[in-house]
Amino acid sequence: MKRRLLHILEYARKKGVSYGDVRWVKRHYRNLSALNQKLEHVADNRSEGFGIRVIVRGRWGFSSTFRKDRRSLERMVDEAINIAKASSLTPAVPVRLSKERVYKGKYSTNYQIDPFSVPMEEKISLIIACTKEMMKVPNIRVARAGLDFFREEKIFMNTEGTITEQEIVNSGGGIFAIAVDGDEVQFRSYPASFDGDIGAGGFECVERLHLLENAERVAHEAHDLLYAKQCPSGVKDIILGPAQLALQVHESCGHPAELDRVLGTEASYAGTSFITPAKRWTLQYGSPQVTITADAMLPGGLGSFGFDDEGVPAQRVFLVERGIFKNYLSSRQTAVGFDEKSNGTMRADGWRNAPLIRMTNINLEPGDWTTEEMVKTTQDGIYMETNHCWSIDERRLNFQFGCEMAYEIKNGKKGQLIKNSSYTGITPEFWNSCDAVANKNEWKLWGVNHCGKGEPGQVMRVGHGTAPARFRGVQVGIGKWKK
Amino acid sequence: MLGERKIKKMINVILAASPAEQTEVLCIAGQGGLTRFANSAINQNVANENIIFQVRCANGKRVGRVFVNGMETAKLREAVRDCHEMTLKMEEDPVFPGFPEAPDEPYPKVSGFSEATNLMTPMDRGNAVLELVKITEDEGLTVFGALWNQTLEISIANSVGVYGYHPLTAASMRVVSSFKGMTGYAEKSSSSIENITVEELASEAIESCRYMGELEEIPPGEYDLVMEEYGVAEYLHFLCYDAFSAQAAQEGRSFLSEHIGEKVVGKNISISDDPLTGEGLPMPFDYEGVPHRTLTLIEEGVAKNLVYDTYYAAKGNTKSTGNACFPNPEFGAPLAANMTVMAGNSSLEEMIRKTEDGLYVKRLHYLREAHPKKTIITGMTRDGLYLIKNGEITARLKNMRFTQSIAESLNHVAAIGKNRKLLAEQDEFTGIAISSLVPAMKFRKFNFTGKTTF
Repeated sequence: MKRRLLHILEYARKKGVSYGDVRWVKRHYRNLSALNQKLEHVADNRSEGFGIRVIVRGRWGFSSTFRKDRRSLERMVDEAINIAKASSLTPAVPVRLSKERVYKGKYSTNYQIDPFSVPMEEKISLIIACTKEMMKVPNIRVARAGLDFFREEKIFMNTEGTITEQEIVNSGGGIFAIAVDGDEVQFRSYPASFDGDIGAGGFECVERLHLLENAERVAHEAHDLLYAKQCPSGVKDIILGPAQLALQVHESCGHPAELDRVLGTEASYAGTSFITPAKRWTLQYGSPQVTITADAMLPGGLGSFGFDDEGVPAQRVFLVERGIFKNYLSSRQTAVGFDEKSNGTMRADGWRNAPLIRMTNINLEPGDWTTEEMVKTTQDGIYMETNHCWSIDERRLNFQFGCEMAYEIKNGKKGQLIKNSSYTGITPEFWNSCDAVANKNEWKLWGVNHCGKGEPGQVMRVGHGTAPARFRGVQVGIGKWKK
Repeated sequence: MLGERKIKKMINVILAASPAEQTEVLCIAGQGGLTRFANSAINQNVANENIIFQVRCANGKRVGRVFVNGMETAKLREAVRDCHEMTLKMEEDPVFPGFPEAPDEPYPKVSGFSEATNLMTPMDRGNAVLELVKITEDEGLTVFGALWNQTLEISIANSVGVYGYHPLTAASMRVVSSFKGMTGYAEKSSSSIENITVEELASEAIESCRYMGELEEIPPGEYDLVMEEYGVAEYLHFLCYDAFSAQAAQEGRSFLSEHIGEKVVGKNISISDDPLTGEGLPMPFDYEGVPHRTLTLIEEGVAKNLVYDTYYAAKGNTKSTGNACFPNPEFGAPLAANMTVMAGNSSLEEMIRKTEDGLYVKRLHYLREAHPKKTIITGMTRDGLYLIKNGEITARLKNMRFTQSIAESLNHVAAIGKNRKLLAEQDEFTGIAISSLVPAMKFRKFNFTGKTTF
């Protein structure tokens, strides 16, 4: 394969590109789900192909193909060059890239049990057993359990001489119950909503989840939510569970720190960012309790890798340090505008797409509290966990999140169960209201496997490390709730 | 394009190599390009081609699925053998009805292929963007957006007699315009690029961000709301997944569960799934090879039908409506992928003129479902929210958040636009476009629950 990639780059050089990089990507993805005590589906998805980026006349062109023969690969290069020429029709500042060393590197996920080697029967039996446990509970209309396995092999080369080879393996899963009584419907998931929790690793990631041991509890919680108290509307202190915080960090810290958004190149679709360049180093993003890192080197992280899709090594950087906004997620092209080097976050969804700035593992660093201490020192609050609904404006300021489950906190004690819980706020105001983050014993790395961005739409796997945290004086509830 | 003969040959390779009792092959061959622009310059410009096969094998009532891309015969044979092996390790699904048989009638004849779209080059897209930039720059605007074109060949065959092949094209251009901190929007989709004119889009983009006053803000609350087609398409799209789908109804998530035949929304609301209309992106069959037809979902406020594929039809003891979803490794619920909302008799201008005290919104952003059965959706306004007083726009407002039940709002529609717009989104996995054909609407007492700072 390397010979083919070298030929592609050689051909591109001969055609006069000032820069070129090429990726070969082979993916294998397996997804299983069980519904109400029977197998719902098993899908095996294999995809393989090439993608090339070139700079010609100071402008980018990208093309891709699933074909492997020499002529088709050369045609792909020709097309990328034509596209770059077409890009130069509109005047713009020529593309410059930050200087980067030449790397020859290999990286592979550290895993114990190859998830594709585990017998299908074992996987099927596990997810069906989970749904059987959940169905024992009254009012459970839907009991679903799923497993996801992913392997990606990738070779990257560029005209500067960098060659990287990587193998990424991800495994995980989750369970999900829907309880129905008349017009009331309630959901409960474990360990997180939307496909559960997925990490970099082998089948041991699934074993660590103890899905079966949690199935009955999850179903009972869905059932109990049917008859729980409606979330009040008003201003309260809230404590967010770690899975909910993972999504809060994702939407209100990760996305706004993407430098391509900041510079307007995602404006027509996903939007821009409120963290304009003038705010760097000065914006009080959060309280001193709040430190946010981007760390592509975390073991087990869904956003962990050896090199990004520009051949830049994985890095750990502070986005927010003790409340102050410090760094963006950058690429070679965007970093050069700040006279800096890329911090290695360009990632492409498979071979068919051009890389974009994407999150790696974006983490709320642990504090020194315990959840118990936070509850004890809260007079009038709500504890909320597991995301159910999320929405945020195009500059990442106004957000509203709904959670699957919540509890009242009154005078330092957990009280009644609450359903349809939600909270809303403005990003920097919200993070500045954070007065406590739980310590490293409660800190966990979560995997989000469906981060969408770009046109054509690209789906990325990213990670978020979080521990429970408390926020003072937050607007909860939505006022009127339809009966 | 590969052409029907080549694709059929590959499908036959798979069917012939299958040891399974029943086999189905769905092929999506596609090629296309997309040019993105930001700050009035092209910033991302891509082309891709792919061929995806979804192979389903059934042995008894055990069904497996394998997706594979590429054209190598050995790879295709391996895929179907692996799929067969997979089914042998599975438990039976008593609901599985078998793959559908060939329809009694030939598939309906639809067009939907445009040679101009198929032959569109990167230079054509670049020149269209250049034209847009020139027109809008003359007006002092900066533009952001994308222009894409796609050619797909969709072919379905199974071992019990189904065979269909359909080539189609789609193109779309969206423009976000920016002028002194105000943004505007224009978008158009069609099977033919010839129906998308840069001048028309530029004109709308210019007009929609030209408001010269200061941004004002109002408190959250209930307001009468005139919503343009862009907003309506995004807002009602949620019904396609969690209201009209038989899966959602069977799982108790749909507000139509157990209410078919009953009045569920206002009498002025009629919604269909119409995959055959020439106004949309027509397709003669669904992704199992069941013939497409126009299906009434809500007629004059009364729930009439849900959408079914063969699996959920068997589960619900009825027949497929031809709404099998486009292939995706992660889900497979029936989908109303071609929602059409019946037009009314108002113009947008009339709706505004007849509003004493209300709001007017161009489009919406980041909509998510807070409660599926109550159809409660939250999201933001975007690219133009205006205050209407005594039939006139009096101020541009800072964007606001709404949290509103769709079903409830469809009980309070005061006016419906007489013109409709086709809006299309490409599926990430296959490139297939999902479309909505919708008019503008005026809702009474739309619930705004929050505001932002711009």
